[in-house]
Amino acid sequence: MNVISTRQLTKRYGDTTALHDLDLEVRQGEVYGLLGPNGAGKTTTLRLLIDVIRPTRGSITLFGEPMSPRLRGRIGYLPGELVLYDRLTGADYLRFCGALRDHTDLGEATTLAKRLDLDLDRRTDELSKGNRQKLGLVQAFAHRPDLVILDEPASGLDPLAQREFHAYLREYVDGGGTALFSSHVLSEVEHVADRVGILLAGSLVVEDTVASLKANALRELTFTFAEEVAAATFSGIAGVKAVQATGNEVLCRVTGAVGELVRTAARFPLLNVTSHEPDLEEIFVHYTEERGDDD
Amino acid sequence: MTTELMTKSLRDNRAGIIGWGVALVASVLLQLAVYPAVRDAAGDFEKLLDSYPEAFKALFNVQQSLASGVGYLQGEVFGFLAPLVLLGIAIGQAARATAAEEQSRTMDLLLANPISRTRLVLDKAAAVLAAVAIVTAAFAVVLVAGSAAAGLGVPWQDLLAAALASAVVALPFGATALLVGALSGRRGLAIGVSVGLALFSYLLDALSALAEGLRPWRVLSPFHHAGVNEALTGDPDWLGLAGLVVLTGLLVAGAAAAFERREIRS
Repeated sequence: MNVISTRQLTKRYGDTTALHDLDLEVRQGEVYGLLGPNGAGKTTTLRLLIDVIRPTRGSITLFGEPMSPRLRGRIGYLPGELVLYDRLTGADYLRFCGALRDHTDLGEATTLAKRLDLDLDRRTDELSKGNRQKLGLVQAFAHRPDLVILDEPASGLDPLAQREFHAYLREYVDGGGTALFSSHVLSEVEHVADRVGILLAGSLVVEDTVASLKANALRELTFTFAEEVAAATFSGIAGVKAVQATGNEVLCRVTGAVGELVRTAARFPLLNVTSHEPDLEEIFVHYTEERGDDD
Repeated sequence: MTTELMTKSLRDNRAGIIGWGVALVASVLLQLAVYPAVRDAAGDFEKLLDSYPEAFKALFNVQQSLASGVGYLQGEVFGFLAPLVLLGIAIGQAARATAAEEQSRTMDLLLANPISRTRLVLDKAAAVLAAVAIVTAAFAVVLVAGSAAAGLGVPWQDLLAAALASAVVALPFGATALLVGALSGRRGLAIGVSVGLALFSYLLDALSALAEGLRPWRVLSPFHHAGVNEALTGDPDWLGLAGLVVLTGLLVAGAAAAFERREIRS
């Protein structure tokens, strides 16, 4: 079942198109990472979903229904620009949200706060940026929502808290929850997301599982031979995008299956092969460049 | 259903309510305390007042001799002080209602809660109404007790009716601030528009006592319909007050409708 489903979701501000024809589907029980550079439309997408801004065109359904106040009770939200009421302690803040959500039990909130090492008795205006972000996360999960929509959740968190939060997020979806989060930090998406969508200039340019994105990404294979081998030997092979020969070494940039390339290389006195696993950064840059070439 | 949002708004505005309330109560006490001295020196005051231009007297609601209790209250309490404070509370707090949360960027998280935007506006409006009611109640108590002690000789029913009328006339201006804030998300604009309208309405009503040409237009002024001066002399305009309450309701409904459509700034 799709927990989030958008059709041709478009948002324009005057002449600027912040989001263009987004068809996004987030399935029950998955962590979906929305990846993109600043200004790509990530925050716009999340704010449209939570209904604080309205689409220029297109539709949104959550749990198969249009957004309603009742539905918001099933959703936890962390805004990208988090501002909490001051003059309240963390616990007061959670009690306030709890009353509005008709969920006064602070059990889940206390558990997560403890795991993130957040003191709920401190006033929000006395908290550091990282601790405010922790409180933002705690309030998003406090009412045990069925879906969380998180805008840059790891922003400002120290590495330890990040790791703990990622572990919590995994447990949350394993327990039946669904998560959509945005990030411009690739390693975060790589660690946490089941599926990734890359948003560039308001359009979803690619959407896939992390594993499959990596499989289809441009990889570098370096062959070391006992003698010089001409670059032209490899340039005609399917999937090979670029070949570069220096002395006895041949570097091939390749996408997809590497079987034929390796078989060809094996016909020569091959001493060593090294494969460089691409991280999402390279995938991201690759798509950004490809996009740039189109313009 | 929960009253959490209304209570929180009220709590957040606590300092404002106490500040305005204390200012009003203290000023009223001071005015009432000097009344016996004013009455005893009535002759000199009359001479001084006679030398004032009519427009000035109209502006400060000097209708009768200051020596009479009613005249004194009209000029010193209801002419300027009470409307200023009650308008200040209603406009100041209504302008904050949605616009301040939007400008300080707490609105995104507030709206993520399972509460409709209409409900949010109504809860915030209720908090403003409660603030006006609290200050009006304190004002009325001090007015009734103080007038009796100072020997103004104005019946307590008339004092209560006048205090109520002063509060009711502030409501449509507060609701205007709520509406402008819901439409624009700007607190400054909400205050500016409402204060401007209040000032214009006040002048229209006050000056129409002097200028024949203005008289047909004074029906546009909420101050005309509130009938504070008439209430003090035992003739409150209940229909006019009811009209102001209805007008307030319409403006609040407009604010809720506007906020339902509002794009919250990020």
